[in-house]
Amino acid sequence: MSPALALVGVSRRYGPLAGLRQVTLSAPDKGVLAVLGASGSGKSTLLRVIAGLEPVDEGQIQLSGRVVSRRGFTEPPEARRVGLVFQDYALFPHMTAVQNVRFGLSRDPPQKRAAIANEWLDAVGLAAKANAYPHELSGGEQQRIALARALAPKPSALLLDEPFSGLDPVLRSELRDLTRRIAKETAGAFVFVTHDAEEALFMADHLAVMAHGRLVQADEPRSLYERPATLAAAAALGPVNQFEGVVREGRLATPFLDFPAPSLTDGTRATAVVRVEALAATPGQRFLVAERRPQGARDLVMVRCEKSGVLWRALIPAASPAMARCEVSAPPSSRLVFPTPDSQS
Amino acid sequence: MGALAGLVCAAPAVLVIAGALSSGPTSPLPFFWASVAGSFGLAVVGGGFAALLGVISAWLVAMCAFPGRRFFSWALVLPLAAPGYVLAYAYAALTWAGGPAPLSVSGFWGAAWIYALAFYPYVYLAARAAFASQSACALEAARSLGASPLAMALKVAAPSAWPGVAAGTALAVMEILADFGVAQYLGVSTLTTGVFRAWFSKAEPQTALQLASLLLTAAVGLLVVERLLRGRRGFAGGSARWRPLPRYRLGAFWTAVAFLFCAGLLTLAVIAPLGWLIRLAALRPLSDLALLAEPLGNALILAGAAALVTLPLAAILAAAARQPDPLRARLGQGGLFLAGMGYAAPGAVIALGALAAFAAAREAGLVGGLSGATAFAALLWTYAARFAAPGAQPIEAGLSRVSASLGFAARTLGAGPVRRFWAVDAPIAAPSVLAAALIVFVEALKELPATLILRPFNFDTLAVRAYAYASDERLTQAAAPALLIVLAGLLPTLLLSSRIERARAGRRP
Repeated sequence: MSPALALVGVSRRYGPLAGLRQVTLSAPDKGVLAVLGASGSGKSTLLRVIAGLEPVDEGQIQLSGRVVSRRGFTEPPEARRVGLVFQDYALFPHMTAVQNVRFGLSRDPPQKRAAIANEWLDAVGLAAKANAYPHELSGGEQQRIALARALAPKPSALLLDEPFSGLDPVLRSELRDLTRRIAKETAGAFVFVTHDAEEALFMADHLAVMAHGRLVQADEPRSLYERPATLAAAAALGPVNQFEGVVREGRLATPFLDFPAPSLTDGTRATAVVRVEALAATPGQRFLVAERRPQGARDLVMVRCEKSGVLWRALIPAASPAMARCEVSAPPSSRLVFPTPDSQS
Repeated sequence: MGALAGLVCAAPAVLVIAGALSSGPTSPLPFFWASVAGSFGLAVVGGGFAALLGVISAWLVAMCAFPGRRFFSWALVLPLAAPGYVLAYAYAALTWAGGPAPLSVSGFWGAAWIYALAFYPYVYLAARAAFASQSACALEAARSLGASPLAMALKVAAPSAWPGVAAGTALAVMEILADFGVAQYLGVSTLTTGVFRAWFSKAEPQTALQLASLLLTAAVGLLVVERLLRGRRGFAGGSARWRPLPRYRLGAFWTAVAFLFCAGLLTLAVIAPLGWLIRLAALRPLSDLALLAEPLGNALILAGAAALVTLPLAAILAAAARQPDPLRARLGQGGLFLAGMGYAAPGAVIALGALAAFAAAREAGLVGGLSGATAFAALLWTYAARFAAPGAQPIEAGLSRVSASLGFAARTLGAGPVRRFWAVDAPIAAPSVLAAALIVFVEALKELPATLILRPFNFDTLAVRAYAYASDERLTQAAAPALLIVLAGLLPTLLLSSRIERARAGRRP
């Protein structure tokens, strides 16, 4: 069976800048594909080409096996059945909530439209606000209406562009839960674009990291988190400690720990990477604890190697005893080494 | 499309310049230099005085807390509802023409006084917007660093507000140069009255065209200055977060000064002159009203026709400037600027241009003489040329409410272009289109010089009737038509005031 949404070698150029370069990606049915990237990484362009708001210069886009975009052909957005949820909600200000949801139901028989719209209002928990105008709704409620409106016409893919970024943390987590639940129950692919690594990890069944218009890596969120293919992918998914050096005898020595690098030849310049949350600090003698700050259940500690001056960060249980000096450790699987790109060219 | 619409608006102005250039040098009439001096002097004195009144009142209302502040905030805009000539008639009636005040509001200083009171709201609006859009944080920072109200005004607020103030002053000076009614009535020689004299009394079309192109050059210069400054108004910016501005609580003395200043300004610009006109109108027998029926009907028909002709033009201009394609948008912006030229040009000048165009068409055998129908057409063209730009402004603002994402949302929900227009764009932009229609309607109702030049024979409007009565020293009879014009002008003025109040920086639209 073909995936709900597939991009094959899609490129989109804006003058000299590359909007998208050779992106190949697919999203499963009834799942969430999260796209993580900084601003300018091409993730918004990705949504726009999938929605049909922009043409592609190379490659093609398929919805359930049907080609909707290729060079020289773009099925217009009003024909391709892709839902879009905007950062600013984009509700029609002159229509009530239920009128907004009904807007996209022109393909359904008229006598069924009211029932479908009410079902969706129910699904997002806003049946009581059906006749409210957008300006009478809170930000979270507006976002729910936008979600219901995009889903009501049963799109083959639903695209969400930073949909929760304007909301406070409590509403945000409520809406994340709601969106995931609906995605699991609804046919079609959900493509969720965000610059927030934690949100991407939470939402994703499948996670894609983008930078500079290119797909950096795409995988299941856990594997991507644990085994990133590049330094960029590793850094995109949360804070990391880094140290650049030269590989000797199959390993890269850092002031703190040795990193095994069996696949790299001696003399290669490489960067050792370990996630801040994977580095543990225990009372010891070798390193100075420069600072310790509470961060909820755990404390962030700054560990300094006095000989080299290098500073790393580690997370320790908040209940750990006070310490002036420490020892650090990290599980072998969390010690990553990436060749520095320049050394190969 | 947009550029074309702009050309339609700018064509009469261009024809005037072409006519003046084609004539070659002629010896200027004796009143040529007096006209230039009169206009220049009034622009400097009247404009300067208007700027002073506008900035002080805007500063008090935007930055200080005193009783009545909210009321003054919108009431100080009211003089915009009354055309300058109505104010001039009222002051004449109040003073030398048998009124109670032992003053003589006439001649150069009288005209400067009237201009200052009639046009300070342009500066007031621009300055208020500039003060109001400053970052509250910057002002709070200044206060926490110990700045007094005066120091804050001079060191923080003034530098960030000056582009707005200068742009508003440019608008006021533009209005002063374009004015005909005030200068004519108070007996000052200006470029506009010179155009009239040369055209009608002295039958010197070449001098008229020369004076007109001089006026036009000044107006376009002011327009360019205003546009450039308006583009820089943004630099107050900073934090986009909306917060009530930290207003200064004034002490008892300064509270009294602030209140008396605003109340005095309002009394001089609105309450006294209009009150006196109302009193005069009340002296006349009711049968006077019957005499007004015809000019009122004419004015409504003419203004309605002007709105009908101008609205499509304004809509095209506004839509063209908002094209997604950057090149087309640039063309559209060019069209808007051309239309702005039509707006900046005095009515008398545009009317001359339209006349020149029709004269040329007659020579080419395209139309007959300047009969009722052609005169009417020329008049409508003049109105369209002058008021397409102010009409395009609210439409542009309305279209900007239809954000790009709304259009995308409609598309992804399966709506084609026709449905998008009727179901989304049109209903959202409708109030702004109505506002534009209202503005054009009222402007056409108030317009005097072009109407005087181009109206078909014996076709009197309210403005023409008021002018005729006042010129005959029958001020008591002029009061009623003048008041009707003011009444019509109130609507768009209040609309404008409330819209600007709502458009405070950083607030959600």
